[in-house]
Amino acid sequence: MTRPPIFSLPALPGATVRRAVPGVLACLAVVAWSSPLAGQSLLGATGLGFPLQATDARASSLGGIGVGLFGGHLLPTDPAAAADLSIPSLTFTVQNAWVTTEESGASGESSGARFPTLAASYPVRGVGVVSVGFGSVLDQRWELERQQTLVLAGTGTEARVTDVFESDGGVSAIRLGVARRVAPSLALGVQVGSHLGDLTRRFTRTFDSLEVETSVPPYQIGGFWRYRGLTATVGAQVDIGSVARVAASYTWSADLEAEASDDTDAGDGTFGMPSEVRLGGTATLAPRVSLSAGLHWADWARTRSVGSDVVGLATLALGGGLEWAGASVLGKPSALRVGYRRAELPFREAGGPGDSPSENILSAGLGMNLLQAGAITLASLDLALERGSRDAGSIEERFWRFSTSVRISGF
Amino acid sequence: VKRRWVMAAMVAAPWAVLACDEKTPTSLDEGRLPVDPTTVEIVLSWAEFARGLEVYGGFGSTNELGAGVVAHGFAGTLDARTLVRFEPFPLRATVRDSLGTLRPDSNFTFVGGRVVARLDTLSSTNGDAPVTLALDALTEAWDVRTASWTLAVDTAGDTRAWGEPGAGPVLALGEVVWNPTLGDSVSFEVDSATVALLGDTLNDARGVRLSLLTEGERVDVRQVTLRLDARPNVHRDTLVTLTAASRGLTFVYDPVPAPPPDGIRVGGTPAWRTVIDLDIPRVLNGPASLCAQVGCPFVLEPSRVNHASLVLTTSVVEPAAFQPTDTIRLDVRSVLAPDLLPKSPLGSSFLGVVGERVPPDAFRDQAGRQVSVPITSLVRILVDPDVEGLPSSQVALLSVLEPLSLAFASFVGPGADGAPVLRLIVTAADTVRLP
Repeated sequence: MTRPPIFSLPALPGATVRRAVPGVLACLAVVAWSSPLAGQSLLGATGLGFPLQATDARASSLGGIGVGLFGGHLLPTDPAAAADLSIPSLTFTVQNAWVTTEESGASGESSGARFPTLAASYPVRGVGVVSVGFGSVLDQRWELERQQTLVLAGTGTEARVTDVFESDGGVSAIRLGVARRVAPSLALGVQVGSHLGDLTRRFTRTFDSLEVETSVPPYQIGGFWRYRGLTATVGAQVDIGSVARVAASYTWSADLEAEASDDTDAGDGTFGMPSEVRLGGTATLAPRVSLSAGLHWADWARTRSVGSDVVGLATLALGGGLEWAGASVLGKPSALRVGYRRAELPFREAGGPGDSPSENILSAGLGMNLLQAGAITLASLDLALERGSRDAGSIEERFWRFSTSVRISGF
Repeated sequence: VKRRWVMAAMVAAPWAVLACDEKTPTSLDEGRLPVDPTTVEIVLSWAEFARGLEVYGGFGSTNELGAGVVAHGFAGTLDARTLVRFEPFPLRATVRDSLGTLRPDSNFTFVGGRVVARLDTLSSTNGDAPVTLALDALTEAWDVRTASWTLAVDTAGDTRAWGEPGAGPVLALGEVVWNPTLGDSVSFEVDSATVALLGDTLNDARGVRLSLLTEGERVDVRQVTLRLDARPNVHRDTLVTLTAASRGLTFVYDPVPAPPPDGIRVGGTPAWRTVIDLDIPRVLNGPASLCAQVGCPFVLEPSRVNHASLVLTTSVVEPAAFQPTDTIRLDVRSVLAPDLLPKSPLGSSFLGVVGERVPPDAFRDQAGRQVSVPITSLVRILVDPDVEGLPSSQVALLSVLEPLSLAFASFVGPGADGAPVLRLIVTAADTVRLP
């Protein structure tokens, strides 16, 4: 493997810089135009929320485990992988999802966009590659709506009402990390950070003014909480010659503290967050063809304080994929990828079927080196398209998911 | 370079377009609702929500109505006459002289004129039937702001009665029959001597009195003007018509209704107001239907009060001459300084500029109709223990505009069938907690 020395940034001719301008402008435009985050699954209504994978498009198209892939990259799931980023880099991922949900015979659709990862790195002499990153952890966005006719106790007046419960928020994590290659075939990484985010839960009852013979403003109650809690990840990466790589990471998290706002009637809360282990590796099968595989274990069984009708489970996810890096798209060196992932989901309704909730995902992807200076990729684009299904007792989901990752280096 | 911009667009386009489509996952499974809200309608009797009631009269004066009334034994009781004082006559006009040239002229000779009254064909009680009206010139000094049936002047330190009740004595100027099918105006011819009398600005008695001679009717007067025939100095062979609008228009009437012994009165000229002292409990121990649904004692927190309205029952207006002939518009405002009643300033309206509209039939043959007056925001404040500097617990029921008409509205008071009640719609739910 070629590893340019730290701070050996090749001289960039003016024309090269000018060529990069459109891409940079496009990326900035994306960040500015993207609309707010939206929920990705109705399973977020069960337990503490729906767990999100803080991976990029390349990892998503190769099974989604996000550890042990070839090359250097910025991933919260693989802290050692940044060790080979010898020049300053910025990467971010945008993910769109379209979900069809079947719940107790009723069908619904949802869609939304989110940013699973946003990270930047900078090589520091004598220290290694320092990075700061932001990644998704839990999605808690969902809502419930029902309409009914109430017979008001006392007078018997009939009133048509619409009840809406909204849960809006989620948990993310911001991490500061260092990765360093300590030997030609060994890299280590560590990330320390904090969970953060907030949650708004609000119930609104709207009255049909005609039926109660007067205008009645909606009734509303709710609460607002802010999340915080430490988290840390350590990882190691071992290269076996130039034909294989294996890596592992371990994530520890302190309890997630939910602090209620002053005007929230309900109190604070504490949730146990899971320890997580990721193992993965990549092997070269033929020139430009590699196979990746990995597993992800998370101990959500220790998550406390979730509703009594929900149980947390230890989950196991398995994933893998095949990458062919010999393609060319629009004259750019490109890679084609396919992958598969099967994962257990962490929260199950206590009275539901005994099987663990699970999801299965087939994925395909494309990676393009948009701008290359010598051996260094200055701009790259990765795309992933996933088709998946989830089965969680009374809820079944089918979804399409499209991820786009951009990495810009040498700015 | 073009290809690079195309590639940049490829990067941006999926996010910029697709990210616009946002639909939150929505469940229809009621079992996932983490709260179990209950909505109850409560009706509190007068004794449960109010301490007392006072009716005050005398707000505004008849001349502030901007219109007049004439009546003669209407509904067997009401006599009313309209009094008008005109603006000083015009001093200048542009006149075409004998050569056909337009010239300003300020030297007129008034040779006569007409007093023109425009009448309300809809609110007057005679329908299409002709009625006879009389015009007289006033002969005693009078004050347009304070004149009443018996008093010509009623200002501080100066009270003078009419020589005859009803703005007399007078100098008769003429009578006219008004046929509503032919138009909405009547015209009284006046000679040059009368014109000179009406234009004498040094004479405090100047003015005219419009009366109705037909028994049992009431006619509403919208406007009275004096049309003057003038001979200009620059062209003595022609006449020009000039207009003097009314400077002051008022009406006097008899009898003045007495305050109601009980019940609620709103409106009229001068206007009536009814002040209710609310005493809304913060904790409810009934009725049984409430306790069965949400448990008692039930704390009436502001967030639980979805709706609160004062429910009034209309009653027949007495004397009948003051029954509304047009829609009454009710207003409710906080009494800001109860100690200053009846002159206390009032807060902003709970009902907005339109008010609660009540049709006139509700005070005649359809009396007994319930009228709901929303006061939700006030009740929320009154039951909130954390609000400092609470507004007064007293609210005034009044007309949206004062005065709005000679007629007033009447509602059943405490202690009778149809007494005011407070209607509450409350919702109670568990606290929304973390998942």
